[in-house]
Amino acid sequence: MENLIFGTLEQLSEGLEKKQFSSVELTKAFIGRTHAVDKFVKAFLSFDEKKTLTEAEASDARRSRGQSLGRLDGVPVGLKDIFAEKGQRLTCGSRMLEHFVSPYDATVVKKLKDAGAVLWGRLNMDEFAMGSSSENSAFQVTSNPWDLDKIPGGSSSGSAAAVVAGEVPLALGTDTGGSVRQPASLCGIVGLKPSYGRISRYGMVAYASSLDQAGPLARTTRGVAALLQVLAGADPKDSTCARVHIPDYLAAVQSNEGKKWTLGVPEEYFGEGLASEVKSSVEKAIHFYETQGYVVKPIHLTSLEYAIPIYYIIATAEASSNLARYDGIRYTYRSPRAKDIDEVYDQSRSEGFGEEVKRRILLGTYVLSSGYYDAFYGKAQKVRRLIYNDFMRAFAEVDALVTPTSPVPAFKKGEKTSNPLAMYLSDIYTISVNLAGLPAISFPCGFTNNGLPIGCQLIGKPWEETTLLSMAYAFEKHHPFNLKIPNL
Amino acid sequence: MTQYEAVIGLEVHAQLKTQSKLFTRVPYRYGVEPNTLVDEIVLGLPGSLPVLNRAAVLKTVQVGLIFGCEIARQCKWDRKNYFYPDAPKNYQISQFDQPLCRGGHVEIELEGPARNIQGKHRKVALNRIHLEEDVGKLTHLGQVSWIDYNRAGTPLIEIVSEPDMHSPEEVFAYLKSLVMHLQYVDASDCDMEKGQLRCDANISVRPQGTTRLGTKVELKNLNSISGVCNGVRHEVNRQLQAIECGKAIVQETRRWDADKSESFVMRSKEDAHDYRYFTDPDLCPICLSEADVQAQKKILPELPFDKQERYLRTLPLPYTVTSVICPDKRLSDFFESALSFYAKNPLGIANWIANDLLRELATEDMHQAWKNLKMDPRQVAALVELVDSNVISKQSAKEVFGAMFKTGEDPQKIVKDKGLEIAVDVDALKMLCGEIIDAFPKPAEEFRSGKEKALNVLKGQVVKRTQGKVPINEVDRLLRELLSQ
Amino acid sequence: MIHSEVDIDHLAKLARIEFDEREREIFSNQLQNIVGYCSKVCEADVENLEPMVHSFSHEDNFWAEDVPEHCEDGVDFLSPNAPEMKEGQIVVPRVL
Repeated sequence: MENLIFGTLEQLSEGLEKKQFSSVELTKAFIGRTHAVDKFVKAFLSFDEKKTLTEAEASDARRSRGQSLGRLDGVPVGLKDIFAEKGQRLTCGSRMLEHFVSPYDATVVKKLKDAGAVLWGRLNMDEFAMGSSSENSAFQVTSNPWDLDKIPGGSSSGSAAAVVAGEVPLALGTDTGGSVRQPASLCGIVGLKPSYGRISRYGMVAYASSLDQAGPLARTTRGVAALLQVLAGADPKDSTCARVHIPDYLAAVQSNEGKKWTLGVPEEYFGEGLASEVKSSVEKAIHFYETQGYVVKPIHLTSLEYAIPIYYIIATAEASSNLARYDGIRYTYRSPRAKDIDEVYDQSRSEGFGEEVKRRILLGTYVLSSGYYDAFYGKAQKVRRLIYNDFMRAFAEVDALVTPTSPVPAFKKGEKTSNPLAMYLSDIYTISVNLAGLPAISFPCGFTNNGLPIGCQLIGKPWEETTLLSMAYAFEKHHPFNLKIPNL
Repeated sequence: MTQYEAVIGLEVHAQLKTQSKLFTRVPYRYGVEPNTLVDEIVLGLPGSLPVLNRAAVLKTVQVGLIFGCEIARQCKWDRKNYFYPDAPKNYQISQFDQPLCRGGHVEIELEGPARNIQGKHRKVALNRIHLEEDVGKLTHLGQVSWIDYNRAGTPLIEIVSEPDMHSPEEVFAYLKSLVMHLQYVDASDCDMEKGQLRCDANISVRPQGTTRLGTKVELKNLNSISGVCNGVRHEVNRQLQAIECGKAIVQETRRWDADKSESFVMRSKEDAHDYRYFTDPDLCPICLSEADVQAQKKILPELPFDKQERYLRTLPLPYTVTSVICPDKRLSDFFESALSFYAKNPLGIANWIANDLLRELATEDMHQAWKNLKMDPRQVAALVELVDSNVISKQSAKEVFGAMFKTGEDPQKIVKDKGLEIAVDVDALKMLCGEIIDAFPKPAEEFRSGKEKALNVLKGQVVKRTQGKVPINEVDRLLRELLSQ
Repeated sequence: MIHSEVDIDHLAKLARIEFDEREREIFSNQLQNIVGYCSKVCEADVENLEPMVHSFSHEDNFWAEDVPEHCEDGVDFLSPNAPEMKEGQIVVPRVL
């Protein structure tokens, strides 16, 4: 079974195709692994074994009729607990939605079902995707499988941890300021944040609507590409989902092999605050690209200093409005103490939301409020354009940018919880990508002396996910960091 | 003593008549089981997203065009944030600083000095018209409130006038005109009882002849057209009395209680909401090309006041009849269709429609009555032609109309079945006329000596003797012929 | 740098969140800190820059035809999750 749970998607798809094992056998392997290790990893918030096995049986039945739906048919996929799946709980890591059961499917969930994927479990996350460590989950703190005392990154904490721990081969996360890439980096797997508008947001609970984007996580670049293939595309239910061409990602990765690109190295991303081990690993990766014949150019992205303040203004403003609907009236937690209508609001929200969520709602309320809107929100939207323009200027010269994903490897649980601002600063390299709506990928590029993974980030032009996947694959082929398995 | 004038602006919300809601394709109907016309979008369930209804935008453009507004080529959606149990998301998707329509005006007709005399017309300036979503409905029962979200998400247009009205009468005329125009383009049914039209008023007073606006009071909960007028009248008087007593007007929002004919403070200026408007990131801007706008312009109907003017001048019809037919598009469409079959007697046709047809249709549910209407304009035209060509008498025509309305049968058939044709035996008729002249020498003599009206007495006698089954024109001709001999 | 005092009580009222004295103190300080950090944006030169809402421009309208779709058969969107319901309606303490 070891070879199954740590198999790459290519191996799993092939095994199913050749009937070396059934989807039920494969799914049971992951269920068994989850039962064995999740008490340490704590990646899962809930799961429904019966439902999942029913899906696996249906997949096997299809295959035996010769009606396989493709590469993902019969393969287990884990969902961050932020995607609506009909009949399943949808908590967003919040007390507010602890008992909420979704009456409808998210578009991505529908697409996964249509592709035959077996949906395995609801994965832990920072409450409403606000956080970088899973410590903001109302239910549990997920451990980093490489060192259980350390955080796995966040907010797609369970998605990254479950994949690297062998509890599920593929997972879906969301990335608003780095929430797919940072945990992928800290857990040593591949995580992609597609261009804004590439994947439908319908049924994905909103944190900051203009920044949120679903993203695939997998042990390999090609696993990520295969998952992206199924998820990408316009959706009549999401006005912000772009009606643009969807390439064949896996074919593109193949045909791009050996291609030599131009890489930009933004100097601002290698300055103060970057851990030396991370820096040297990423520099080694850059050096590798040079040896492969890539042109490497230093460039400048001077607007980086604004990225964090702008992000926290825009994201919290949108969040303050997006989260207003959780009020104790219709479908959320209602405080049993509430005696009048004002108390229904005030007490349900105060008891139902965790501290970080409340902090961000208050900040977002502040930057939109009368007298402060122009100075904060209005200005931030213009600076956002500045950041976008900065990137576009760089992309006139290079095909992609290469940076560290996170300035530091996985840190200790509890280390940063008392200082929200310090926690915010750890998103410095990922955040501006969301502001500009660009695609970016994080892939493992080494380990620290303590055995913690280090991630390298590639940032691409709008809609150029293929470039990023091809570059990441070029590195991965020569550096099989992704084949290392944590001891659990 | 200083004379004061009232300055009044209205904010009218009208429910747009679309098949589905503004941001989801769930339909809306009035009076349906609670919370059955909802989905994840209406309820604002986690993860749901809005998708704009194209027809709602185009209908709003039509409304903007009939009022001469400038139509925005690009505009956006904003969120208006406030907590209230009837608002499923605790924000309303609305348009804040980029309304779909700007400027324009509503032509109004004030009441004339008498029913048959046309009143003065003037134009009330509009500020803007924008599109937004409606909220659900609260019912208060003792210690609790119940919430039904069926209405939530239906499209509303908010029509904001300038502070350009000066009396409750103008307010009345403005609302009447709005309703008439919105119904004309089928944008809204404007039934205030069903909440399809809601109105808030901004009211202030100032010394006559001055231009600066006084401190305004917002009056809410004006639930019927007469309620609006009463509320406005009451508020203007309240402000005038306050000034008379030397008190300052306080900027506040007041709630009109129609039962008590009294208004109460809802909130003061200090409690004003901070709505934290910002662009809704879930929606794209609306972009309209010149061609899009022209396409809407093309399908606009002739507007009621233009139509009335045309009827008065060219047909011509008397004011009283036009004032019945023109404000109602269904009536005027019916009229024009009938006219297309028989153009010789517009007034004859108009009278049947304005009096008899309207009377039959004026039931509890006029909408349904129209739907059930069996007769068509061609038949009314045929009926008028039958009278004009002396096939039946006016009296018989009433009977034919009644039967036509009930059965939808052609008048020719009804006349035949009932044997209502005037049997024109000219010799017999001539003999009868002679007998009448002999029997009534006095009016006969009077006519001969020039008293034209005396002929009516003789005519009346002929009609009486024949029980009305007589072509009155023929009687007229024969009597004159005999009397001139 | 702009003068930006955080009125925590006003924000709490707008956001419908309440807290005890200790939380109030902590939130107040943290927010003041974050706001101070965020006011860095004031330094940015944004002359002639259009505000950016989305990262890609929408050239076509995104709208749907007005064709009603009936709610999916049998899907109850409200009652499985409602805190309190009666006769198909949500029940809350009386709204003034």
